[in-house]
Amino acid sequence: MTKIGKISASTALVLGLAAPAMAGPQITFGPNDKGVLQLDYKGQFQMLIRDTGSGANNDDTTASFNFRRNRLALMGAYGDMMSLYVQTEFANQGSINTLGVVSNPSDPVFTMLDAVVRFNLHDSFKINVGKFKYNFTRENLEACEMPLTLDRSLFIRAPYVETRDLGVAVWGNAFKDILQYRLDVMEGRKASSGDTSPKSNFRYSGRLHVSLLDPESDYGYKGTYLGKKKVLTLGGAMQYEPEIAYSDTVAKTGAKDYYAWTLDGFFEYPVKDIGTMTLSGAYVRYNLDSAYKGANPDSEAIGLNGEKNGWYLKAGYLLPQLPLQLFGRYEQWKFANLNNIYNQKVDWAGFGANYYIWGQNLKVTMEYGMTMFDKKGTYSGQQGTNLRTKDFNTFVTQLQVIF
Amino acid sequence: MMQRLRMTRRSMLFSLAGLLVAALLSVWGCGSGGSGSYSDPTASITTTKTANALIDAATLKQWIDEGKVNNSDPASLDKVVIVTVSPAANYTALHIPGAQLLNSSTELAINRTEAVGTNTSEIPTGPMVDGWLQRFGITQNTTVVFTVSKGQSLMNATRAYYTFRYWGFPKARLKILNGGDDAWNDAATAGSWSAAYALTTTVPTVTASTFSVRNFYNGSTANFNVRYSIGQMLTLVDSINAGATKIDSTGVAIIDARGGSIPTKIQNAIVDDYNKYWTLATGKTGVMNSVATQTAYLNAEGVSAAKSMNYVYCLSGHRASVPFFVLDGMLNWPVTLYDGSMMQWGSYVSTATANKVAAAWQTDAVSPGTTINRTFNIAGTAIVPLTYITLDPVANATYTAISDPRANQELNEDKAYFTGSGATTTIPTTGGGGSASGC
Repeated sequence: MTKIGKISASTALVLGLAAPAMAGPQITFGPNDKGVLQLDYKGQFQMLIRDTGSGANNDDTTASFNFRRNRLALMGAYGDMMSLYVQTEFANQGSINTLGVVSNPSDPVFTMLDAVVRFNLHDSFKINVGKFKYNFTRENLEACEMPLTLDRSLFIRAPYVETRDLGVAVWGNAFKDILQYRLDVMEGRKASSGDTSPKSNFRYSGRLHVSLLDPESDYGYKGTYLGKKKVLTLGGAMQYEPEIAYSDTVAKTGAKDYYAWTLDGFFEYPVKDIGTMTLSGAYVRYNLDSAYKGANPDSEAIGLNGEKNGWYLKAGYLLPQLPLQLFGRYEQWKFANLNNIYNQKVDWAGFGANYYIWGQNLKVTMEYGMTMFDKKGTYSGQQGTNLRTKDFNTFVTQLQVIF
Repeated sequence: MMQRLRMTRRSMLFSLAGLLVAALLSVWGCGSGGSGSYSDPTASITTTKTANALIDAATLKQWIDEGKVNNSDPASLDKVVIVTVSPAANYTALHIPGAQLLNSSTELAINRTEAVGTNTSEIPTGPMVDGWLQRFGITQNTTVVFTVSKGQSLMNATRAYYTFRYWGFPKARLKILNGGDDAWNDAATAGSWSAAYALTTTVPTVTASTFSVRNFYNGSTANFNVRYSIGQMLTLVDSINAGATKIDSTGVAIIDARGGSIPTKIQNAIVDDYNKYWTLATGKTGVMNSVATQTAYLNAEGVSAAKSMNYVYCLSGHRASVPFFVLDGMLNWPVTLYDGSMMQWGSYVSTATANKVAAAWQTDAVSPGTTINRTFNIAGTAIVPLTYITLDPVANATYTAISDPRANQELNEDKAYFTGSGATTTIPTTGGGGSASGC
């Protein structure tokens, strides 16, 4: 193996990443070249067509180009014990979103998506410090560039946070990587004065999984291993943050706790000459102690990322001789209050295909998704005036490049 | 042998995966609205549910004892607010503990432009009603109990009930204390209630809310159907006169609730009397008759549950609020109130000298295509025009048809406010009637 090859392999090992076929440039430094830095570009460029959302009555088809992800990642390591992962995001605020089409698209912004220092003290004891993915749903912990379907669930995000949070995590693998544990203390809802939230507390998460076949021992999961592993992993997690929101923000009364739990499973099994089957599902429940019933509930205790519960099931089939993977996905969610409709149920069904030109580094994905609401109509209320809820269908074509 | 073992292992894995899926779906309840469902707090009336919108003093006392009145707990699904609909002086003198004032002399009716003129004694605007709601601390989970001061007419409570219904309040959230403060006082005496329940001069301090009638908007503006404008009323009468709308047992009824001696009425109207719906004791507020008595009384007038709609009116729209409440709140029969009533109808006549409306709007004209007059002349003498409207010359020249939707200004304005789709209305500076003798 060449020097660069050795460094690349050791970097990947330390960083907990599969060695990319087309990794970006690497810099080595320090005594014995112990220091390594690697720069990667990760892009997902999309063309979206939705059968509603524009025109005078918002009933006309909407078409849009969008960067779903547009990132520069800097990965570094010094020796075997310490590594660094920093990633920027050119957040292109898409015009077509989960529930509709925005009236006034906002300008894109650069953000620091990840900034985490990782200490690998032992296989059973590792520490992450900084901004990184919190340890709750498997779906959120799956690599954004390696999902089975086009993307993760549109409805699965936890309240008051993005996909990443600030804090400290301790995690590790035990019993020959069959068992993995994760514990973290994170910021949760951003600390604010009593005008906004009842208290400023940390958010606590705990997650366990068991891998019954090949281990999933990294911090990040994958939506598919493209038939390179045989995986059966069952996991579960809990999350808690006390006194996170008021149920009456005007009277500043009704302090409510946040607690959530999830169960998930992932199964992938390659069969020679037949192909690779993938099956993954999860149930998740986000509770805000019924804050939505208050007279003036916190705006983020309701809506898409407020109190809710639901499940998803996704399945894939990778052909044996052709890098083509067919997939389907079905989700059901119940929201305490979505678009001013109480106890709204949403069904989401989609299907499509991934064509892996150079594995995950150059991939084309097409997905057709149907979003179906149990209760429809235009309602005004705590989430705004004249919010329309109507079924819609979306077709997305995406080109993914990792360089 | 090895192949069999591999097959067995593979089967086991697939079985485990299937088991996982089944377990997940079971946890969720298979999407059938199991434990994962959420409730609609606006629809959750738990302990203020009553047989109809009329309650007695004992029921209100129970709600006070349960801590519901002016309850500041935002998690409560059954907050109760007591509103005394009376002149300020009467409220100041004595009221039920915890009750708040809606001034019947200045707040219950206003001057507003409709069709071709400004009429007095019209329904308050959305911003006005929002002001009340917030002042009273009313939220989406509040049940409102209307009462009147000792000796005052229960009519004002029914007018407030009608106004709240117009602005979207669900029927189940509105109550009227039968007999008003007099009945409360009598019950306290008869039941030897403690002094804490005695009528008081203490004005309660309540936390204002941010609630708006707009919070009721859910895509429907059907709440406004409880009110008719003059254009709608003329259209209805013309349709009845032409035979297109029936007034038989399953057709519509028009009910004139003024009472007393009336020289004219709207064609086809049943002569009624708002005073027949309650029993009066000297010096005291009337006590509403029972459901059975109300039903028998209306049946005798030819009005039954089979009617497709009942249109009630009086002079100002206030006395008509009494049968409106009986039909809507007690009997659950269909009812619409012609708000302009005879103050508007009687001013839109051809014999008016000042403020004379254009021919299309004249209420003493013959309905188009018929020989039947829109007004029935009971006295048989010359119709004396009323003078309650102020003509809008531009509207009078512009709106040449009673069906012109632009001439339904109050409805248009109120819908725009309710749905948030238009400019907010300004609160008129002049107040109209609404006293016990308002009709």
